[in-house]
Amino acid sequence: MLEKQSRAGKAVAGRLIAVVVLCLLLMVFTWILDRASIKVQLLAYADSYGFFVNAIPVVLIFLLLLALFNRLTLSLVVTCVLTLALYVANYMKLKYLEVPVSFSDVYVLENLHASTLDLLLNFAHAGYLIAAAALIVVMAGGSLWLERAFFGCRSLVRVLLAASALFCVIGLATGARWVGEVYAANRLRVVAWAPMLTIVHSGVISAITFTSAERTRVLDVPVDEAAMDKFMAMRINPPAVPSAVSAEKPDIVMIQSESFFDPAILKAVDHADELPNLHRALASGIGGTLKAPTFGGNTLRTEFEVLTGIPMAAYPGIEFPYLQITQETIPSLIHLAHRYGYATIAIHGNSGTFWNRNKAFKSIGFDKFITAAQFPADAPRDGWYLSDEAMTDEIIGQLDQLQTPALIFAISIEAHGPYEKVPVGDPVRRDAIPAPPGLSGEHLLAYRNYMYHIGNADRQLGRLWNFLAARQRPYILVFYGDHLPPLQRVYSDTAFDNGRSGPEQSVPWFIVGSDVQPRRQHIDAWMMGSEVLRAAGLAQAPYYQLTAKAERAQDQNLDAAQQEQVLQGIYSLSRLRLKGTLTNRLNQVEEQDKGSVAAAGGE
Amino acid sequence: MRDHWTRSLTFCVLVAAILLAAGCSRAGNSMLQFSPESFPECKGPNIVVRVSWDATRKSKKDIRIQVYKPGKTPIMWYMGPPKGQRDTGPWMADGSTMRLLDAKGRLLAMRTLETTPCN
Repeated sequence: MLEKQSRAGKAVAGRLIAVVVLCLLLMVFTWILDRASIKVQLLAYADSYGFFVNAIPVVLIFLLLLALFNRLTLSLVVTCVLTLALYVANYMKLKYLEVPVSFSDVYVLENLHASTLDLLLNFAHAGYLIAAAALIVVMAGGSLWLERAFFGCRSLVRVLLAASALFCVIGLATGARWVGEVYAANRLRVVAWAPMLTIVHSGVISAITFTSAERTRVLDVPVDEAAMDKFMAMRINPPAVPSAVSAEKPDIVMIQSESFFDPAILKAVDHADELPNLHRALASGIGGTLKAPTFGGNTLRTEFEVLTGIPMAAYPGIEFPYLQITQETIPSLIHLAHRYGYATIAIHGNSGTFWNRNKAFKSIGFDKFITAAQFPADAPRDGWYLSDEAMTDEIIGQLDQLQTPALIFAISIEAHGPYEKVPVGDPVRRDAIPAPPGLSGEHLLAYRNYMYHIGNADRQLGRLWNFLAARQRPYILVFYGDHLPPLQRVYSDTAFDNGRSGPEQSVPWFIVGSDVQPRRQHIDAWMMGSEVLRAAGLAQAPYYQLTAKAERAQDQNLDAAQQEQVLQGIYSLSRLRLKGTLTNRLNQVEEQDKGSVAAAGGE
Repeated sequence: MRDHWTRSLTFCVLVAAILLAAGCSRAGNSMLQFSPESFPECKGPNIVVRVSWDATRKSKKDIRIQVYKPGKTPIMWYMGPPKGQRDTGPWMADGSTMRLLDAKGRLLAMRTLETTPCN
């Protein structure tokens, strides 16, 4: 009897030791993957608090799976595969977008549709994914069949383990209070302005879990009253050229061109011959360089700034505005155009579910959103998606049908990467594109594939411009790139003229039209709205007067502190705008200091 | 029963040890060091670091050293003999990482600059 009890006791101790040792190994495994995914030394910060808490979710998943599957090896392998998948995603995101995986990516997963999967699969090898899935299925079958059950039947320990692990996993997923205490900013050494540094200190999973606990506060960014007062009191010169005034409201066509930049900013490229219409427009219209709030991807960030005039920097916790800002009405240029009697139409040759645009565009105020499903079945394709030619056909078709002035906002997709393997309709033309010296192999192919597609974008731009100019209607044509393309290897090989990194570069923008005077101007994407209103001869709403003032401020010789004052002022004002309380605030100021805003706006 | 768990555990530890050894083998024979290896964060954000390297066991040809901040594209900092030392400018910051590469671009060693909290 005693011998039997002793054997049973030893068996339990053996299992307990096995689980503890495996949990410790999982911690080391997770940390090594973490360091490898961000390409730092494998043992960097291995003695930190982050080393331990970074692995807590991984260990919890392992324990939960162990309780569910009742098989040790199977639980371990599935946990390792999931962890590996997370860190491969982090590596890929850093490689293409130069931003790490973050909690906001959950919003993308929550809104996962066929179109999103289709795009993401372009960045992954489908063969590897199928092989991994097959391996897991074989492992699961083999393990359940061959491996001994870890817990005995009707094991109370198994039930308790499952309940405790599930409780903790739910707590982590919902950002419970205890999670905020374990993943406290000071313990993790969070650096608010540098997410990558937070990850270096404490690991990717720690940073995600920290943000999960903080997420309810992403929109709750405080308004800095003093910063607003200082900005509104600043004396900034009025615009040198008055706004255009048109008797008839012009049609407004806005093109957000996928990954469009001018390669002439690369050291080894003096002039991109593939973009004649861009250069013609920059010479004859308002335009110059535009600072996009993203690099290599995340189009919706630039799009949100252009449509709403709200800088993304006003909300540092928001990565994907269409997914994280879910209010019924989002103030925008589109709502304003409505008030001026415009029909407002968005066009995009992809699924409307992508980036949650179907919902977001309703909040932003579009009358109609035409997506890939509404394009003709035989609409031309080039690259991965519908071509810019198809998009231009759709714009022209819509303009031909409308009787009232129209605002059309079209988002292209043809030039989407990855460029190493994106198909091209005319390989002979692609292979004849001149390339910077020093590029070879895959880097050269990626550059030429990219140039081929933005060459098409430029050609369609010329076609649309000719169409608008030949029409007997006033118009303005707005064009800008949403971000630089993810061509990091090309940038490493050739570098930029200004010596700065890819994310610090700007994309081109311009407005041409029937009554537009040439002017060179650098803007941030959120300043676009006031430029559009001004070029169209439409009266500026108070918020757009303020963004116009911020734009003029950057042209004056303000010192760094004053520039920061301008930005902090506009960030706080934009927060009030999103909350819907900006008008009250401006009325208060007007009562206190009659006409101060109008004078400062100068329009 | 006990033998079964002991075998499973030994197997897992063995696999982990092999993986770790495989991961470290190439970098193990080359040296890349910072002086200081870390600095108090209140002394930053940037400091000058003395970098020493020795890759003579792995390469007689010139080596390259790249530097980058995590998540950013590496840039070339040094190209020359496989053994030596050199000071950086005052631009090394928390997380700044250097990679020692041989002539074929294979990674020989890696080092990341750390900080310590000041409070």
